[in-house]
Amino acid sequence: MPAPPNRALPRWSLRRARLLVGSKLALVAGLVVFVGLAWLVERLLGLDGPVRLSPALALVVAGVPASLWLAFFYLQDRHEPEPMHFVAGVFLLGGLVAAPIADFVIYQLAPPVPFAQHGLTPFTLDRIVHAVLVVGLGQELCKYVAVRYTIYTSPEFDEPMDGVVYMMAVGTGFAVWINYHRLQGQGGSVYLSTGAAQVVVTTPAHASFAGWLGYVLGRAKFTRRRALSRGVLLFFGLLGAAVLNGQFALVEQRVTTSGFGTHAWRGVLYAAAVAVAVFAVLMLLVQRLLAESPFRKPEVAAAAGKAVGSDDDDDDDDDDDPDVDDAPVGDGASDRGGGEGAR
Amino acid sequence: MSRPEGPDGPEAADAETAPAAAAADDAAAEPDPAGSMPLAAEDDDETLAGRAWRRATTIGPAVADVTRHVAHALGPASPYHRHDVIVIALAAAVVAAAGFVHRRLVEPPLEVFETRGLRFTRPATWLAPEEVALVSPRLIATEPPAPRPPGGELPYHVVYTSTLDPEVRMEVRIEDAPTWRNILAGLELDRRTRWGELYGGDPSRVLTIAGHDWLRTGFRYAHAAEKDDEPRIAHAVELATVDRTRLYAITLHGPPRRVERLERMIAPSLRVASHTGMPLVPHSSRLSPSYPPSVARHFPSTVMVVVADVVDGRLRAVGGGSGAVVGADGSILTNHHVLGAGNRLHDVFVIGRFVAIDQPPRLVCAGRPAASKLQPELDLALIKCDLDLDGRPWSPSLGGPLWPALIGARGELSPGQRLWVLGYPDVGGGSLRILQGLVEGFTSEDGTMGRDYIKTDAALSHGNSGGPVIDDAGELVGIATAERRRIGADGTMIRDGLVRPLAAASALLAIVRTGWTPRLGRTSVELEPTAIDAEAEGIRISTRVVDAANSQPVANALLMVLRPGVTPAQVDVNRLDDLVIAWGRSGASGEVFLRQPVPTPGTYTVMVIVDGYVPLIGGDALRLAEGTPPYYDPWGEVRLEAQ
Repeated sequence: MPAPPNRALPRWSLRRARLLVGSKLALVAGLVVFVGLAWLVERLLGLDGPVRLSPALALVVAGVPASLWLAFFYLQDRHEPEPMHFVAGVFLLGGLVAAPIADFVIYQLAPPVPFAQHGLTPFTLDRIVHAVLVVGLGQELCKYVAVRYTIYTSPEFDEPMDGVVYMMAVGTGFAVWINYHRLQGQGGSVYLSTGAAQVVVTTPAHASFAGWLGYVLGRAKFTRRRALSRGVLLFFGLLGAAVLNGQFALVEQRVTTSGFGTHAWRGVLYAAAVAVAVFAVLMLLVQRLLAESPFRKPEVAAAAGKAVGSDDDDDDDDDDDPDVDDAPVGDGASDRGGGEGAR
Repeated sequence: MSRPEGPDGPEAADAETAPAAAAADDAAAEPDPAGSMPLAAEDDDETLAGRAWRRATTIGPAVADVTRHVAHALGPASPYHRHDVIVIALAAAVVAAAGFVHRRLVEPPLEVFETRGLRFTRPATWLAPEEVALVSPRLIATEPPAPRPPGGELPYHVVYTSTLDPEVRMEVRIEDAPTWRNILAGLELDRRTRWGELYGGDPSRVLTIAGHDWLRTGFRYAHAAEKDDEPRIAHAVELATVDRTRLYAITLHGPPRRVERLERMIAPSLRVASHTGMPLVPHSSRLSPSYPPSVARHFPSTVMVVVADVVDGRLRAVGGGSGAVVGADGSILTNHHVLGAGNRLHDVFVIGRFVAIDQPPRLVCAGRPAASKLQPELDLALIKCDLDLDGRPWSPSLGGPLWPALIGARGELSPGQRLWVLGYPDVGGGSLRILQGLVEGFTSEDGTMGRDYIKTDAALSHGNSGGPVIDDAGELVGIATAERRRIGADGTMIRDGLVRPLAAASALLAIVRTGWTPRLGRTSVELEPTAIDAEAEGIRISTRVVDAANSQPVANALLMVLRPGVTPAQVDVNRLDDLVIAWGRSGASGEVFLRQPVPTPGTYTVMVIVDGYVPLIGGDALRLAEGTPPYYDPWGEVRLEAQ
């Protein structure tokens, strides 16, 4: 890759700020439009019942919101954005390697138990064990391994915030696989609008669970603690993600079904609530990571030093900081310097 | 904090530099004087989406990077390699343990099933048992089985269906113990006539559970849940036993793995109230003697004959014997007493053919004793399958040929000569049994001097009846028929095996050679036509029948002229009235005068049949042209070969 020409830009550019905020807003608007479109198609075609989506269409419905979300998450890392092809690669790794392996292992360990076995009660012990420890932990472990043994060791993973970005990318890829099978499963019959809405909300939910793990992972990589406490931190990070994942599946099912009826929109609302809550907490943590970022401009860091990571204005300023936009090769070189400095 | 904190510990820090160094070659490290890197290489006009697309297309370098990092990560130099492996292994162990715990949690609880002397544990989550009617056999049309009267004890037949999977079912059947002791063949008949031709079973084996023998049989059958559904192959395992008074059969249906799990759960808990104390399938303690290859050649021509009656709308095996295949058309020679007792004939017989020396015969086809050729006075019968186990027409061309035995040239047997008896005695554990014995002499029906039976010391037992008796040369010499017990001079019991010599079956063998099709009511071996449609005009045929060996006249020979166009292959002794247009019997001088005229012109097939001689069937043997004299001897004399 040729070295980028060194062109000094003004660090405070309103145009850049608008571009970044505008991009995020456009992405969220895109997601809303996506659900709206699905709803509109359903109305226009007079689809009263579930439809059978072809594999290609199911892939589009599962993939489009995921791509938008991926772009949204990508923009969170303001100081030292990651190389886009790395993020895309990790996203594919999540969807095409981690998720199928997780599915296979989970199926082998606990083949699905027919509905009649434990009836309608959602919170039986066997369901909790299955949702949290088998499915939840199994899925999060696969996401974790996908990052831990690829990007984690790379020089690109050079600040705690990167853990969140890459894990969210894996989680988003994972969600594509899950949503694709959800749309194709159950005889391939889904309601178009609820199906689309579900995809839109479960994708950030899965990404956020992984993001939580990524936060722990990022912290772990740059911690000064002893190996044992670092291991414990990671393990509880995994367990935490598993609990989030498991409760999400259980409660979503609980609110979706009542008796033999299903209320898909309730599930969507719950999923949205969880996704927003987890994502918001994650963003608070991310603000801390960003505030502590080694790539933060010294001037800005000094300005923000008074109120670390909690000042909204400060964040907006960071958003606009154009100087540290992606330049993977150069960053790699600077990271090398950092690593050696630490030694 | 202005710099990233390096990994803790020297090992990790060293390792961190390795990939970085590798990456250094392709990295153009240009220090940024402003302390910041430029936004991007591209000009401002490029849109965000455009840039994203360009970056996304650099997938090749990405893959190469990722591969390099994986290789590094898996190498021992990776930072925290060992510790992270422990964390991952721990998490994987938790997942695996949770899977195990989950499996235990969802394992259905058990419940005790106990009724009518049968007891076992079953999954408690199954649907309530459904009492179902017993199934009518496919083989023979019957009134549907009567439902059990309310409060009635037996037969008891219920079906349990799993709540997990409607395909998984358990049938429990309790009924009176069968009268026939060969439970192996009896149960096989039940299954075969219930599932018909689309049934395939594995060999049964005996399980001893809590000191009691159970017969375990795995089988497959084609099954359509609803009418017009595409049939599917279903799997089942049957566990069955008998005690003093009852037969118990538990059949587990479902996908093989589920059935296997169910069997593991149910089988060890099976108990019955009363024990017979006898083995369920008695195994012969003696090993079969070694036999010459000429005897082994007869294995495929030895069949099992199971007879069954329709009782309450169901087919129940009531007895069995053996048989010898004597014709390529599937004709089987057996004993009359196998097919019925006294004047009462059983409703159907089912033929089991040889599979392997250590396996029970496979039931392949069926027929009706009432449509067989019977000679009760000689205790012989000729039977032939005409139904498959679905009750549809059967012929050897459909079911595969039955190999006929090598029929002896009626050579004289002498005392001391070795004999081999093949058959399916009840005590033989279901597979073909080979007995060896010596010719001890001859005896008459009443035990006095005579040659009605060959006496042998071979230990014939129930079920051997009808089986072939073979000499060392591998020729069929007789049919194992009876056992006679007498008290010897020293007071001990002596058992004589009685073998009906093959010569006694000449009338039946003549029918085989002539050709026949089973027909209800036509049990007589008499071949004389009774009511033929005689032609009004034609030539009067006469000739003389002589022995080919010595030209001596042959008396009582039946000469028949068949309708034009009837070929020898179409001859059927049960349709002689339809086929024959003229016939006559020879007198003491061998002269035959046909009783009916034969029209001219025409070409006819002619048959000559007489006891003790090979039947003669000549296609187009009689050609009559216009102008043939009204009294005509076309052949001068007809020469017959002795049998």
